[in-house]
Amino acid sequence: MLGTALAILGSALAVFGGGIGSSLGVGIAGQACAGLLSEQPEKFGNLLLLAALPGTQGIYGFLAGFLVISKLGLLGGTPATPEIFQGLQILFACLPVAISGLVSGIYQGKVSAAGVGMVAKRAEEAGRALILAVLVETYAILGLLATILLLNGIKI
Amino acid sequence: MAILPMLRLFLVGHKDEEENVVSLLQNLGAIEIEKINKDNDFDLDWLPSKISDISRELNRIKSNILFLKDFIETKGSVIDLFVPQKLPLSSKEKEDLIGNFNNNGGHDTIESWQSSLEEIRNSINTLLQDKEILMPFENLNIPIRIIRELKYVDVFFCQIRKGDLEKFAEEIRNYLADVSVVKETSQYAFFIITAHRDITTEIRGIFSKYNVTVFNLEKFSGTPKEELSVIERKIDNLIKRRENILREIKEKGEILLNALYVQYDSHQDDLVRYEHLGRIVHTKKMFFITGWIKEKDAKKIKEILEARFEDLYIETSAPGPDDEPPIALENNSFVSPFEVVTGIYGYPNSKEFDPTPLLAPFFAVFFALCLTDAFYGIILSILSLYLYKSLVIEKHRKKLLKLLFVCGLFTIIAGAITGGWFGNVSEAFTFLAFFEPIRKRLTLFDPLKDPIIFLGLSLALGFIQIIFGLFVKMLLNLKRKQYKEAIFDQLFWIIFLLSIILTGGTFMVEGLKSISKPAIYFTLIMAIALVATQGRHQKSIFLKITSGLGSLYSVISYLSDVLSYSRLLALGLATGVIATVVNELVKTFSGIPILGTIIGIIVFIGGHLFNMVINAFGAFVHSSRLQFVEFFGKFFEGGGREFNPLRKIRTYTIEKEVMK
Repeated sequence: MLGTALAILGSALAVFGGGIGSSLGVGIAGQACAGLLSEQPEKFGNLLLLAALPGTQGIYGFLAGFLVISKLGLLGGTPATPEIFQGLQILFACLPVAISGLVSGIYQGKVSAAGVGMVAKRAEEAGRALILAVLVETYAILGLLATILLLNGIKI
Repeated sequence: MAILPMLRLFLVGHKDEEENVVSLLQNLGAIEIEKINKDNDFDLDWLPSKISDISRELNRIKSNILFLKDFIETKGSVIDLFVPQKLPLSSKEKEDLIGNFNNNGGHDTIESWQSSLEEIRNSINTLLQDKEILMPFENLNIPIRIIRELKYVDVFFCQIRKGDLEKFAEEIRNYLADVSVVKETSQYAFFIITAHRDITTEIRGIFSKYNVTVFNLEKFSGTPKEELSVIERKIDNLIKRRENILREIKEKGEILLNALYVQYDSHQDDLVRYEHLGRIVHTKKMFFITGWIKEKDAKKIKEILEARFEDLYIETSAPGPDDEPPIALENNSFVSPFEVVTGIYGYPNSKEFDPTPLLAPFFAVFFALCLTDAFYGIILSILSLYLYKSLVIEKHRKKLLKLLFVCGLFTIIAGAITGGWFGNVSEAFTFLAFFEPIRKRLTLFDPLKDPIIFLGLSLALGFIQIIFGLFVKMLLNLKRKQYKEAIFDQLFWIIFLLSIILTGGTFMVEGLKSISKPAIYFTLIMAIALVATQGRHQKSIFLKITSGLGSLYSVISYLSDVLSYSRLLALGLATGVIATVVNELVKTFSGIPILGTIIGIIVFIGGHLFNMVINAFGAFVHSSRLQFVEFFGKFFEGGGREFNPLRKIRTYTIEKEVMK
């Protein structure tokens, strides 16, 4: 059963790593947006996207977490009983998305907040501000990708 | 490719006609007026004050709009929050609105409403305060004016904290004053003090010691009860007055508001036009305009201007070598929506071509692979089509909707190939099982079971786009007659990268193993060719070789470019997995009778809508990034300025004629 516990730890790490990164990121961006909205409420549409952008890390973390859950068969049917080593493998496989999501979420939030400053002065630059923030997200995606590929390779 | 050729335009005319000319130019909306730096200019000295007049008027209109808007219910939906809709009006309707506006007293009416409402609000507030003061003493049966006229006695109406009451009363009785408590609340006690006038000073001293609040009732004369009923009556009257005003606003407000919208837009036009007058060069009697016009418009515009103004001198000429004409794009109806994507990066400069047709197919395919759900594609297409038909905004601002429509269609195909129909909806719910065989037959591969196939597809597409980018750059160099660059910097690289892939391929495929040796040799030869040519800018032979060797390091950057396309897999998987999660969640409610179905339906709709929106957004930005960083980096310079002709600007209204 220790194997299962380790795998669940991995799943939990993925979810809360991405979750923390996103909450902090969206928090940073959201505060900046709220400041601007008090002055220029008509820019809500543009700003919503900028504030939502750092939210994807949380989704990626959740995604990895769910993949582990379904791999363990915890949702229904007979749960798989991985060996301790297999549990460890799953735990390690979850680390890329957990850590890259945590860090990139925060930094993406900062870039988004800077983008809000850009939109404040020139609304037509919203697209470019978005793209700059997306540059940060690449690494969360690569983390997710590594996790998916690793999980896919682990046989229980 | 699809950058419209521009012509430089000169206009010389008499100052008397200037305003009419510029006004016509604004109506035509086809000419961008260039700002000329002037040393000594016979400027229009009335212009600055005119501009500030218009700005002031604009501010007045704007503040009245903001006031009226709060009272008029609009049929606005959530969409208005993102895209404020405009009011479609014909020029006849506009005239009627303005006429009506003036007949109803115009700004003065609105401003009098505003000030009356303000006044009523203030009066009611004051009355409510009075009421609060009087309420505790309501049972006093003596008219206040009698109390005020007493000769030897002062009467105080007071409030104190309950805890202090006893001590205070004791102390005050020492002075032969009378305390009668009239009302107690949980925190405070209200009381009346009657004392001889000689000891007023001492009494006041005790008041301040115990923090007693003394109410000033001097403005009242009757008994508190009478006064309270007077106040009630006044408040009622004020509320009635307010209701009358609000009814009046409801009756006339909407028409007035629409008239304000029309005025705002026409004043904005004036402002822009007068600001443009400042860009024009003037002599004592003449004015001189220089600007840009699309070549295809030139002939028609020239005819219109010449027909209207006899003494106008018009000339057009091709841009000179140092000129940087503004950029206007024109593409066929499939490609033109993708101009949105190009626009985000920035327009091409005038020496380049429009990259939109090149990125269009890639963008659509990448978007589809990121979303990979057929039902999401269907919904996206229908939704954007619906919005395209129903949104009342200028046509050029609807390009994004067109883009989403096209991308939605691509997504349907991508979804069908990967078996995504609301995730695994037909597998999850038994009552949809009839769809399962169809889904299975359409599915080419399941990304969750074979992510490697999806990864391979993503990377292959990336490789194709990067090679294509190099190829485009090569053609560009050939066109500019930079043959050396075309062959050494692009052609060699293309062959080298292709040969690396093909060599790798010969090891994978059993039947081709025999030719893998020659393939390796060929790749090595290409590498040597690159080493020999990439250092050609260096002077010494030693530097030539080292910088040639160094250039091979670029292989790494091409590799990382290709790897960047793996995001297609990650985003595509994300959509599918979250959709599956939503379905699983819905299934867990199925145990509860009746209520479970309702909750299930809500969760199903909400969950899938959320997933679609968030992933469509991700698909859009990530597909854009792949164009900008990985693709444009190979050949595109950008830095062009968008063509921005003098035209009518519409914030609130839109011409009905334009809508058609």
